[in-house]
Amino acid sequence: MNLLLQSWSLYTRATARWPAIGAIVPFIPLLLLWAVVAQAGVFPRVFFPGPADVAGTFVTLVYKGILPAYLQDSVVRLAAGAAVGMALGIPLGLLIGTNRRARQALWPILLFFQAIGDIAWLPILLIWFGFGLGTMTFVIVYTVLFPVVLNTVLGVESVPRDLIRAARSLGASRLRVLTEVIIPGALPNIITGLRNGLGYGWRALIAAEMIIGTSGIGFLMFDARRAGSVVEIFLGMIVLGVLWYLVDAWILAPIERATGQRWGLVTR
Amino acid sequence: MSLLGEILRSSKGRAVTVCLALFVAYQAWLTLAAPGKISPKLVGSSEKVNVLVTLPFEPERFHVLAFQQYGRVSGTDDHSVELRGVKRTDLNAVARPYWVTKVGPLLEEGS
Repeated sequence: MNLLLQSWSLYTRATARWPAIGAIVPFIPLLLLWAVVAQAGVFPRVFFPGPADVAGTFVTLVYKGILPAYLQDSVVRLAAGAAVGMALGIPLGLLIGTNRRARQALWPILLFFQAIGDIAWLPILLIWFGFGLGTMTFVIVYTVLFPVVLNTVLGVESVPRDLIRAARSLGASRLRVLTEVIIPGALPNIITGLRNGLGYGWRALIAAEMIIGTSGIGFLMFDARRAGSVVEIFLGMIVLGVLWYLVDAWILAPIERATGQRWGLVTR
Repeated sequence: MSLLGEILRSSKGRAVTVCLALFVAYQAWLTLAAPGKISPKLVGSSEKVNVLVTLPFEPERFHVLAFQQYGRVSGTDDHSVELRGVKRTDLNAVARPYWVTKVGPLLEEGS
């Protein structure tokens, strides 16, 4: 019992100092279970490869340049789609959040299109844009747009009215109120919307690459089924999970936390 | 302190910055190393050349598709890809990937 407590104490101190350890440790039992089931031969190896097979395939695909190239394609597509989604979504959200007439006119349309999933657009997008980058960019922009718009509206509405009135009574123009009160006040929600939108966009991109792609991680996984290469499908899934974890935990979450601390209601 | 400065000064921000710097440095190294992989025998004045691209492994569909951006792939051998009609200005781009070891002239049969 004493040894257990000491180990736990050591673990909590180590994770406090190096948080990355805390992120890795929960996966160890999962990896062990996977290795044991694969090794026991419960399922044929060709249908259920072990961690070592996946690691070997990872090395091979990196050596041959296939995985880095596909990964780069997926990330570039996501970044381009997210940039366009933000460029459209933030101004639209600000317009809807600040203008009652715009809200009355656009809100029903927004909710209508929100109900139509991104993948539902694929058949018509294929007719319009073909099997190309245009179709994939449209899917990502469409997916990123709604969380960004809805969260921006929420952010604008959550800015205390007293702050706006105070700025106006001190002589601030509408533009200054927008840039110095409303946008900073809404920023934590905008970042939250972007974080959600990118998560949905990442999944939509993989689905789009599976259906129409000629490169990318989604394509790698879907193409692997042709050769019956379950190991490549497993590898694709792991790459997706690890990459999204890194992007979310190492880039998006710190930005969201920093904006929340600076302009939101959260304090250190 | 600006928001960006605050993020960059955090431990995660520093780790991401180091990763980005390493990535940029690696890309720069690939660009600088590319001319060294091109055989001196490819010098000439013609606008296009036929080249034999050597890889350290057997080429797959991915590699054939990658080279088709620069010319016509007329065949693959053990560890090489025959690429015809490559513009001289594209030779560095052909040699740039880390999985290309050498770009040499394509010797026609009987020559």
